[in-house]
Amino acid sequence: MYGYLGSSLLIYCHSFIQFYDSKVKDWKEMEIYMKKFIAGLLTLCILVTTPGMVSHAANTSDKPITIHINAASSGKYTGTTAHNKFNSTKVYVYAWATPVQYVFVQTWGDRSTGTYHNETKGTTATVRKGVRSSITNYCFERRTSGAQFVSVKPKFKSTSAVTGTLKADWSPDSTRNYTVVN
Amino acid sequence: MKNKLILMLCGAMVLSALSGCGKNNVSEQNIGEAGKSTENSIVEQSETTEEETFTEAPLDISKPDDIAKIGTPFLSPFEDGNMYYTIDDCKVYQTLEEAGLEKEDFIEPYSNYADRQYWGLSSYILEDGSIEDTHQLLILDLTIKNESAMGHNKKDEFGLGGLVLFGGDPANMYCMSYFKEAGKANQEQSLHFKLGQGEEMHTQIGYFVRKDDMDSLVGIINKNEERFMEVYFEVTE
Repeated sequence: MYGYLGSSLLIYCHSFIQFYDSKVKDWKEMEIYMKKFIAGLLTLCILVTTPGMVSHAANTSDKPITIHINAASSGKYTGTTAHNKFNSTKVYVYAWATPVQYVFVQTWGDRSTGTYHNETKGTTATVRKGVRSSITNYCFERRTSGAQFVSVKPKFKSTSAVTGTLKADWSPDSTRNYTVVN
Repeated sequence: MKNKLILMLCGAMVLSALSGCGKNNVSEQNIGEAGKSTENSIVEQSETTEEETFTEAPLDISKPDDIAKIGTPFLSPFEDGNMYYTIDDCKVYQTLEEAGLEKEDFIEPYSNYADRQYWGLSSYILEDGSIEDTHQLLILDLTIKNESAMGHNKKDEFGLGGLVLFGGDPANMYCMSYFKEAGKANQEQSLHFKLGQGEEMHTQIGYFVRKDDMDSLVGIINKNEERFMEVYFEVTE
């Protein structure tokens, strides 16, 4: 959308200059034309940006997951099915049953290309059992230009040698910030 | 002179507009620090210097032998305690009228297509209320029995968001677009429902599915990378 806005402004400025170049003879006339120019520019900005203000889709419904998490030393995170993310809000994670008090979480996004990257702020977030958490991430910001959404999945690992079953709810988008953990 | 002045003004305005937009792009609410937890006492892992990436392998949706047949109960892997689902019947509809439903009865599904197309609710249901040509509406009669499950949000509140369908090659993931009880238990979470221990409910759920995928369609709960506690269930006869 921003590219569209920039292009529209440039086209408008160029057309205005070409049209009025021959007509402006002194400073007084120029003042009149400048007022027209600014009024036109403001109208253009409103017209171009209004569609962008329509609320975008947001995938905020709970996705329940039950997975096995590996030991901290194993280095291997366990992921779940990817869902589409439509805005730059935080990823919501609520790990309500875990074998350890804290778990490591990463948010992986595919930049709309099918290849996933760890887009977690600070590489890894630490989530406490039973605490509704918001994970800061750059999944949507790093989408392919013009893409409407990215595919996102959270990945989990134990913070100790203890392994076991993790049960959680998560969602790619969120409507509010819970405990921001990174 | 006048041209130069106009050009300079235009340039400044365009640059200022574009730089403002650019800032928004990376500084939306996602990056806010408000409410940062002080509870975490675990030492953060060190930042990796080399960027890790992976490309997901195509989903294997071949039906396993122990797939839950229509009419056979299967255990939800998500709950603390036992919660059983049974698909009692399945029907395919070409129009909402046939299904006895209206446009307003549906919820945004956010299905995940292998070809990365975006299908919002308005893409499935056309202006005149008909269903888009390439898709059909699959309605499943579902019985939910709460034997001993306790909700983790509220004692008797549970969610159906884990029941998804896969079909096609490469596989498309279909998320629920209709739930008869949508919004009754929780207005923010339309797929939540209330069911106390020892109680049973009969309801309906629905999905918009590509016609081409109907033959390979399978229900899967809890799809994950290690195939841990996955449950497959039949959705077509």
